Amino acid sequence: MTHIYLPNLKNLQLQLFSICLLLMPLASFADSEHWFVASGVLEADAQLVEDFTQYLSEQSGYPMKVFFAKDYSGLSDMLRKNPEAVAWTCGSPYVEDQKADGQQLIAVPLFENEPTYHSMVISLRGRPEKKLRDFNGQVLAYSDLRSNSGYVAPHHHLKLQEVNTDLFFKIKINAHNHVGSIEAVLGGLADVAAVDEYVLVEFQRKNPEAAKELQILEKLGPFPFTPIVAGNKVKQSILDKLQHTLLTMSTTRQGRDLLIRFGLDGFVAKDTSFFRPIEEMLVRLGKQVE
Amino acid sequence: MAWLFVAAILLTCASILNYGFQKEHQAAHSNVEKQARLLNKLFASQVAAPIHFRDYFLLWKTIKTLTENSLHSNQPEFADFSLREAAVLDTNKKVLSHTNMKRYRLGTAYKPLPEDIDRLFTTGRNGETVIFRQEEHLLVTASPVVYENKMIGLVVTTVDFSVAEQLERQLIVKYGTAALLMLGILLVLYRWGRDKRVAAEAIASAKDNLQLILDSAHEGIYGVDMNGDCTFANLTCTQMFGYSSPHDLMGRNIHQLAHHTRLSGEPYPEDDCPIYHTYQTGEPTHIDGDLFWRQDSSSFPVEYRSYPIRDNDVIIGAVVTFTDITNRKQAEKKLRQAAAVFENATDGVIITDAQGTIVSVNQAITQITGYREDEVLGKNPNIFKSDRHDPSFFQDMWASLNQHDHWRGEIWNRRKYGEIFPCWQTISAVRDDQTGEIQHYVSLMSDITAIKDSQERLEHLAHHDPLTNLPNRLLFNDRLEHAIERAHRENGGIGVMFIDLDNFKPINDGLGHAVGDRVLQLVAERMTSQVREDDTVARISGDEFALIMEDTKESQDVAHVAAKILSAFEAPLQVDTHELHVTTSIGISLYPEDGKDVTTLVKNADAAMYRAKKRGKNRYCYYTMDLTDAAMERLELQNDLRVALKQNEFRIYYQPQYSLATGQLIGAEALVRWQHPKLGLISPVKFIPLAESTGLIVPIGRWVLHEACAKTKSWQDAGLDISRIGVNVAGRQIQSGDMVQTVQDVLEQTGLEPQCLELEVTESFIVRQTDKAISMLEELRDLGVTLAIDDFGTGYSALSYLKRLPVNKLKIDRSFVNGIPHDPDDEAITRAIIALGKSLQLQIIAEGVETEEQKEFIALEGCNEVQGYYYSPPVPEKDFVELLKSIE
Repeated sequence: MTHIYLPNLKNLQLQLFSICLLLMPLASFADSEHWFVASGVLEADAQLVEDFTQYLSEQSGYPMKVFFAKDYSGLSDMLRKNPEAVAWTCGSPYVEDQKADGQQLIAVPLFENEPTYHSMVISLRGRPEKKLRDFNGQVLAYSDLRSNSGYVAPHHHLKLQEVNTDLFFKIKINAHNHVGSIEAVLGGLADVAAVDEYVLVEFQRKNPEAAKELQILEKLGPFPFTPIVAGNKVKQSILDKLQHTLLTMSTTRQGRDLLIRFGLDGFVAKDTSFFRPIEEMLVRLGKQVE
Repeated sequence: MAWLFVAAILLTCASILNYGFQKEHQAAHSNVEKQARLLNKLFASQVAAPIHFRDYFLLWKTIKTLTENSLHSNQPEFADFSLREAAVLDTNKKVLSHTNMKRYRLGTAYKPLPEDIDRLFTTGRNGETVIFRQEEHLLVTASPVVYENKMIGLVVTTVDFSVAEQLERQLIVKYGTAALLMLGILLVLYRWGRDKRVAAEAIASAKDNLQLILDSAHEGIYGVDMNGDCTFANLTCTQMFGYSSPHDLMGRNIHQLAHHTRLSGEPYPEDDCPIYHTYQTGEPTHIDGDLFWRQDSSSFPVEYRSYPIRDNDVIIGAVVTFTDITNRKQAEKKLRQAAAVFENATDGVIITDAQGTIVSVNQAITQITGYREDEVLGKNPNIFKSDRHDPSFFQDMWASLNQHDHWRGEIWNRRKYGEIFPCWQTISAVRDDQTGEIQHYVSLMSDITAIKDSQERLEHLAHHDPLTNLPNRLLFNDRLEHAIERAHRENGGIGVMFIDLDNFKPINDGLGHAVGDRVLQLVAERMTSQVREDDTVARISGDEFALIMEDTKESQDVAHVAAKILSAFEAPLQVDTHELHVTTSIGISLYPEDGKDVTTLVKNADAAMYRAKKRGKNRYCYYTMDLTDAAMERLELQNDLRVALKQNEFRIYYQPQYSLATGQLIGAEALVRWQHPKLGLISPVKFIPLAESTGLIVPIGRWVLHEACAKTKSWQDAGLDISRIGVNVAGRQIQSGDMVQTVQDVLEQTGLEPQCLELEVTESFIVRQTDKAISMLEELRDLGVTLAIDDFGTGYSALSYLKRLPVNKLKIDRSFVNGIPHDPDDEAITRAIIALGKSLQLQIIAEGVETEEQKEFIALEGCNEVQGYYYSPPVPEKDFVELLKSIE
């Protein structure tokens, strides 16, 4: 999930004020409830995340309330400051922060029955470029600086081709979420983008006519999919219950409905070593992975 | 003067219009500029933060949103123009955002701007807006983007105010229309007076035309006012009501006059009448099946419609149109009757169109065929086809339909679930009265299965004996007739038997008819079991039966069956607790020898049957006595042959064989003889064929083989010079399958060396055999015995076949030797056989040599061995031994 949820306000100053509000530590919220943090959720999907959180809470007995973070940095920040929180993060921020912050891995979702996904390099149909490497001096749109599929994977891909990624693109535009990246390419604002395969599939399903304007140039991966993690203060018994709830979602009617709405096939338990491929990418890109 | 007045009015109007137009034009232009400034300022204020924070995506989204909003028609402040494009430039005139980013890419240079706008990059102040009129209806507006008192960009919008132009055109239209209107009013006043007179004349003419139209209508038409009184009526209406003129109806209440009673005969109040309802409420009505009354008090059924008459939206009456539906009602009644007949008929009715597609069927079709109506509609009647009729049947059917519009006959159809059944069907073509073209085909179908079954049962009863179910005399004669026709065509033979039970009467009389009937049934069964399937056993009468045997080759075949029938009754019949012995007397007549027609054959068979009875019953007699004698003799001989082996009645005679080269005796052929206790020595010509046909040749042949080998061995042991014995082997022995084992057993038992045994097989048998027999001969040869082809030259051997045979010798048939030296052909054949044998490296022996010339000839030709009366006839053992001793 890599979409930002913003109130639909026309006045820009009000929008900025809202963002600031969201970034503030919100310790005033009830202590009995814990946060379930998600990042980059579209307004249209907000209710789904709310329903999912409620299901998890009821089934596991661990009451939670949704918090929508601005980006993955904001998400990790929330986990750090609220170690009893649970979050649905991305592989890259998990690898970068899990040791420092003690994030505990609970489960990984299954997309097309696999716990993996790809980073899809897209551009407008009809363009002459055949791969990412051909977009030297052009405009790149990305969803989040810490997004595996939106930023890390394409940069790693270029790095392997001995490209100086700092100078390669003319401008890199933060489109705030994968759908924004897609819209930027469709609107002509950006020449190329790398987006989450899961998000692209959903976009194609909901916007078939617009999707016809896109072409997929490269398919990077597969990579470990976006994990659900817990802060370092969540007890093992709670972790077990949360994991059990996630792994058995397909056995309950409500769980199955949620999976259908998400477009997922279930959840599976994995350990940290599952994310080694992302760790190796980050190391090659010069990131600090403690 | 009038024209001056008009001119003055027009001038005044024009001045007023022009003034109004100018004022509105100025107002429209002022509005556009105001709105353009407002829009630009809005853009500039919204994009300041995204530009400052370098959030190009948010900047783009903001421009997109603002553009979409400004294009909404419900934004009254931007109602007079539409936004063509909006560009956000940085201070270097590079594009930061644009409404069409596919054309104006981020960071690229924007197109050249007018000078007044271009100067804003250097001198622009917050709030300042510059407007530049680019084209006829395009305005370019530019506003600086200021953030924290610093200009960070420029918003440039291009608007299209052709909306305002449209407004101007609307003004022109508005004022122009007003001017024209005034002129028009003046003209109208002038013409008003003149047209009034013309209109009056037109109304009168229209009225006359209307009456003409009314009177020419086929329906009755009348009008009534709000009281129901007649205001007009056409001629048809007048006539249908029975009046002489429409004036007779004028002013009279039509309901009371002609619509006063319902169809049922009850009085019809006026305010219940739908026509009254029409002119009261204004709603039209349609009634099918009401009653109108004539002047003469007769009534007629009608269908009518009523419509309100309005004058300036006020109902002033109603108009009614009606038709007399008497004929239609009668036709409907007939149709209902016909439909009832159609549906309830017990015969199936199928109606098709001219192309043969089923359009209607009745209920009976479902009962007969099993198909539901919906399963056959739209289909062709060939769904009922049984495939039992060949194409010519249907060709004849269609020929009859085309010629006579009719066909009838028996046809076999198929029901839905596959059962084939007989129908009696009639098909009629229905033609159009006008054109004569075929419109439909109507078919009536009756299921005659029950009738056919009855017919078949009757047929069966008429031709079969009910007690035994055998064909009766009628059918017997019929079949014999056909058999004779066929035998005549194919040059074949027929055997006819008449079979009478010898002692049936005492059984029937003594034990009762029930037992007698049962006896007859059992007799029928036993007889039937002894004959072929194609033969006919019939019960002619009482205890008399008959048999037809077709395709008989010899009289003996018939005698054989007769003998089997006689044997069949050797065992008693078991009826209830009675064990009954029944015998038969059989008379045989043969086609064509004893007759060529039914009557003669039957008569002669009957006569032969009586002869059999006279001769002692339980026997058969041919009509021709010679045949009977020959058959009896054969039968007796056959019986004696069975016991001959047991009673040691066979003897072996030996005919010596000599080498032509050395003149030495090299062997002998063993020939079987039958010493009949009564008939004396019987030639093998007489009993060998009988032995072969009965299968007795196998044991006889085995005995001969054993005897010959044993004797030869004993002679050898006695020191006599006999190196080889030849034994004839019948085809039947080889076909018995155990010949090889038999020979092996005999050699073992007798101790004779295999090379001393020569087996002779006729050429005619060999050529008829398959590879199986050949392989058996090979096995025999592998035992070490020698093989000779007997009677060579008579069997039509193919040379390629001959070379494959595992034989050592050819025996030239006596018939060729017999012709030497008189018959050059026989000489040539003999010579050829010798040459052939030599070339195939076979030994040659000539048999039947009876003269010196024959001996000389064959010796000269190179034949190896010889046998015949010239040297010695076949002699009994004692004489042969003497011969052997004499050689010593």
